[in-house]
Amino acid sequence: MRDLSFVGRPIPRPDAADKVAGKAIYIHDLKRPGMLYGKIKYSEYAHARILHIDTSKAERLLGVRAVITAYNTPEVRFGFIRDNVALKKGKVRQFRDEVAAVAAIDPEIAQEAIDLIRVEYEELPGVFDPEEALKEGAPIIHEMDPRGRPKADNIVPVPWRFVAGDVEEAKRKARYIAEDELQTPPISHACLGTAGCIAEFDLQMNLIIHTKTQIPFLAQNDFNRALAQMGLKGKNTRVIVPTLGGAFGSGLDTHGYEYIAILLAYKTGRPVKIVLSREEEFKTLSPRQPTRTKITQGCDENGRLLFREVRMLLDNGAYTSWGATTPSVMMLPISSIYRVPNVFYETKLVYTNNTYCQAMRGYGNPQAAWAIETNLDHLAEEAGIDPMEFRLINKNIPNDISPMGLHITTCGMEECLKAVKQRLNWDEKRGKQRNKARGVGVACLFHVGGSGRVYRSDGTGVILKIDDFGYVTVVTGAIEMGQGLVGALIVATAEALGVTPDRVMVITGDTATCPWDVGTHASRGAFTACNAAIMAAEKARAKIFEIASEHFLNRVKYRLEQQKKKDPNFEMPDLGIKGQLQPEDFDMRENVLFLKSDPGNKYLRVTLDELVREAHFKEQGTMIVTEAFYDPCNQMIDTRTCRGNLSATYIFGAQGAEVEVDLETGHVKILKYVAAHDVGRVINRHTILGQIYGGAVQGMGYALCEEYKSEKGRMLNPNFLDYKILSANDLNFPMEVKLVETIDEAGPFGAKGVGEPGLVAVAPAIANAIYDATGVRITSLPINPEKLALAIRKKRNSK
Amino acid sequence: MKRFDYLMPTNIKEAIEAQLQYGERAKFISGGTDVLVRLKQRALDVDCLVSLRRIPELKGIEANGNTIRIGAMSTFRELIQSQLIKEQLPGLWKAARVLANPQIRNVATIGGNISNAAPSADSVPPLMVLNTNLLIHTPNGLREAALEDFFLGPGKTRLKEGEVLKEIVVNLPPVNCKTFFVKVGRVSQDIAVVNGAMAIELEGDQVKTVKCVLGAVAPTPLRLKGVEQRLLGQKIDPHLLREVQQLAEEEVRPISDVRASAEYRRHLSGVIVRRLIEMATGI
Amino acid sequence: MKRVIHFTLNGFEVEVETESHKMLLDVLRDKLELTGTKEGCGQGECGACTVLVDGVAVNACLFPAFEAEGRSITTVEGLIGEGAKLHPIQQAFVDAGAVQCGFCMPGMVMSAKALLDENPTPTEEEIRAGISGNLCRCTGYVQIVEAVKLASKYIQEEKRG
Repeated sequence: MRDLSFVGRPIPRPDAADKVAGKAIYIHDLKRPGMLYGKIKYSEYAHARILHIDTSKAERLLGVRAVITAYNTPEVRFGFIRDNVALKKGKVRQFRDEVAAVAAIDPEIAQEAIDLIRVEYEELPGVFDPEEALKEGAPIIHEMDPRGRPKADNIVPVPWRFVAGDVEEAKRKARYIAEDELQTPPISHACLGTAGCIAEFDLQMNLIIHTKTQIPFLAQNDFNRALAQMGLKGKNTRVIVPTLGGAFGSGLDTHGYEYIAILLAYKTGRPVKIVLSREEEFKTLSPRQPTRTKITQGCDENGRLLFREVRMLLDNGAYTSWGATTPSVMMLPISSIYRVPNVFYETKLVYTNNTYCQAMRGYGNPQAAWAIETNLDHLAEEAGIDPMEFRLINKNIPNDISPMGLHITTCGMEECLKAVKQRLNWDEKRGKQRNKARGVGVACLFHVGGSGRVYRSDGTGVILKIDDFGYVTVVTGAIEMGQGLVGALIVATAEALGVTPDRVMVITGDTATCPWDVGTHASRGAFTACNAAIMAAEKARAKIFEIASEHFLNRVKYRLEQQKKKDPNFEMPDLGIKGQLQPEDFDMRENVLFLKSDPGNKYLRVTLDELVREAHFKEQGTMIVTEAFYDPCNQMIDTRTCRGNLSATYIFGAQGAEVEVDLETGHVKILKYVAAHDVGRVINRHTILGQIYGGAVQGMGYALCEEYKSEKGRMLNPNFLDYKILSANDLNFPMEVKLVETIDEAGPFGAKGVGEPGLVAVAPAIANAIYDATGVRITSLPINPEKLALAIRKKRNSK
Repeated sequence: MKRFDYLMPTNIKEAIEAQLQYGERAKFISGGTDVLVRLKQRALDVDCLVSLRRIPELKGIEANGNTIRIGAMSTFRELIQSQLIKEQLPGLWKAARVLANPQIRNVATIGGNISNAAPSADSVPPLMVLNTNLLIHTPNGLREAALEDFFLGPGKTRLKEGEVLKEIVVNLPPVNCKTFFVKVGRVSQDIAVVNGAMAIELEGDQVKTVKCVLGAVAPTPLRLKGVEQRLLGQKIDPHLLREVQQLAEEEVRPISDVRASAEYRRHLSGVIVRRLIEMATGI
Repeated sequence: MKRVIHFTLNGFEVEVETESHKMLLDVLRDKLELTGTKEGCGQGECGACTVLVDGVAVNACLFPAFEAEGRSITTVEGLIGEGAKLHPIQQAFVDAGAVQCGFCMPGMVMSAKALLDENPTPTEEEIRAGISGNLCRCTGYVQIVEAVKLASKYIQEEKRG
């Protein structure tokens, strides 16, 4: 491959300037003419029958334009299995259930109106623990399934079961076995920019909705279904995505507040804006799936893994979102991280009156990695093998097929592990610093790197257009949510096309004008969008070179003639061209076309914009617009066998930490952190580092302090005072990133996805380091100071 | 937020009159970082806020012989930047530096922190271990109150209606008396899970005088008199330290809340008290 | 109660009618339509609403509007120079790759300004303490700290050159 001009370099992203200047427009900043403000009334109980809703006082309040409930609006059903409705009728099943909503001329009046709505409830016994919810006699959350058939239990009909080989047989053969029970709590996305939307109808009753979403086209589908339920079947939705203040998976579902805004817009005939306050963001948006896992792993006398058995109980909450499919992703590491021939995995998903959960960065993988990597260290200890060594013995290797049918092509796990080992001085430190309450720990990750086919189409479309000034617009349905998609796209496009990144503009986020994309998730944004951009760029180059074969020489001669006119002494050079030029004679780099046979010739150069104008401003002229739809070579998982090559390629990584524990207060000080990632190829160095640092720090929060706390369904910490995310002050230690480039042929310039992996392995890496430092193994997250201090104290007292 | 009036008097008389006019329906506001948050959370309901920001006589930090006078409207930023506080009241200085975050410290005041009477208030333990009094403006002139007796419960003080803190008056202890402060939170920036201060005078390794106050372990900042008594006149050795740690655990009365359990707070109390002594003896 | 308040905003004298229960953040965003300053939590915990009042960083969400009377206030919009030139601090954030979703950026940049105005060559520890009241969910702060170091360099260079 030829030298790359931009790929791999730190290129400033095009949206950075607007953001630091405060000019970027987020949903909070957007105003539409005639806009009203919507507010929502939430349930006062976790589980109750709605007896009566009195909206009369609210309706009479000056400035109120509409008050809606389930009783004066058409039913709008939504959700992954359509068990949720926009406004609740009959009963409420969780504290965040939406019971009524108001649209008013300003948000304060809307809130006042909400306070004036009186709802009478008959409280019902609630169930808040999935084990309790499975017992006979437990309160039933949904008495009917979404199709109207009666339901007598709390089991969610989205089961997952994976079997490879014979685990029972392997258990008999195993020399060492380790068994653990581990838990993870719900985790809030805690985006700095809260969720919100503005819904409005045009005069043909088509819906236009500006909203925070990562799935504009799936949302369009969801909203069209809502329109059909509202008597507007056949009408279309245009979803427009403003600048997003983070997302991390919170935009992978459509939410109640969006449907409510649509209903209010319909009722009032005006645009209606609903933006969640921070408290609402914590209380009414769905957090990361909590898990209870029983895991057993076993190995032979040489430390080779023989089996892995995992059973999970998942608290689904009161309704089902896309988050119910996290087991499909958890299956990846469970079946395929390290080489394990015998695997059993089963999950049970149970309704409770707790908040329902959705996707969050890693999509189940952090929860699975927590279990696997903690238990693996335990097993290594049983086997008397150093945990780093144990992982190297069992490492994934390139060109392998895993029990789930995943086609592993490139694999940098070994390099990643070795990088962590070396940079942490593993051999000098592991097992040797307990007297100083210091320790090192490592954990690996395995994730999709070439998208993940969870929907009927896994495609991303791109339109590429070049204007008369040589500026390139890339239009795509993929979403920029802060992760740096635009930063990767300008590099990949510039490199593939032959222009400079500053000439590339990215347009995203409008279903009416941008080509289809399934959604920005599974770390797929740069992978698919850049692949599509490269395809479109290659088509554009073909067109450019065809135009060049006709116009290049004319342009060159014209310039020479102009020069001769200006300067009569100018000597016309001999260009040395014989015969007609062909498209394959040309190349273009950094905005300039030249001949491959004579790249250094200063006369045989035409700029892109010159060429475009030559082709455009003539009779029967033409312009350069190309498109491509990239749908990766991956498969949907067969729901019976749970097998399939979910992704076009896979990513690997290893992370390690050196920690020092204050044995009395339980505080964990990270002394050094190393994140080594097989990224295929670095496209934009700025954005890839940002993703890994950012993911790792979210992982540290997951490991050490973040926890969505609730009691009987009521959230206890809906603010930053008590839902702690890490600040700059907590992170005063070196964080080293090692980027391993395995150059995967499926990826754009060899790149693989990188949005999620930074987060996946952090918690077990830190927990394993804590174990090395203290001899205490904590099996539930977060490992906050209280938990650790009391566990250490208990251990001391039991001696 | 629900509507309220906002008054900005420029002298104490005006401020007190305004508060008396509204009675219970008015509250004084200094930095606003507690009051406004509680209003937004609907934990508080008022018709009027009376701002103390423009009353010059409530500001100022100065030494007066053996006394240091801190105007109630001194912000934590001002306390941190004051050489006087740094040198003469190091415990308070350390507390000021770890309270909340920089933006809050720039507007929050020591008078507000004290009046808000959170059991976890950071400025209180380092002041309470010294001989500290509060000078209070009342409708009928000034009165003085000991800081130690000032708190009645979480959010409750001996301030009556129409009363506002003017000054914190610290009588400096003897030169050999050193003050130490420790704060433990869940992360580096937090409301204290437990905080504590100790003012201690050593003669060699023998305790001449000692006062110890812990916060967030009782309805009000708590003086550990049992611990003090056990330490008085004693030589500090590892055995005594272990005993005192145990005593502290028994003396505190913490609750479990969303931040921490009573068990952990109890455990931390012992650790903090022992560490405060260790800091004093240079261990 | 309503009142007209007068203050200096980004170097210009302004007059705004506002109500007694409003905060400075409401005045900036709703009345003056300066939406650069963001609301992240409304409770003084996240720093997204950081502005400078008489040069000192405060959370505008907890700063009563009436208190702006007679003060000099600087928002992120006030850092832009002639011809829409980014302030050196803003340029440093762009150059260091410190920007992701951007929601925390206006507040972060203002805290950085307050820090560098007071301490032009801070250590890494001082930088981290200076921005400790500004939460960021995207970046992990690493490139932000690099940006502040770079900003310090740019400012020193500007002073010399």
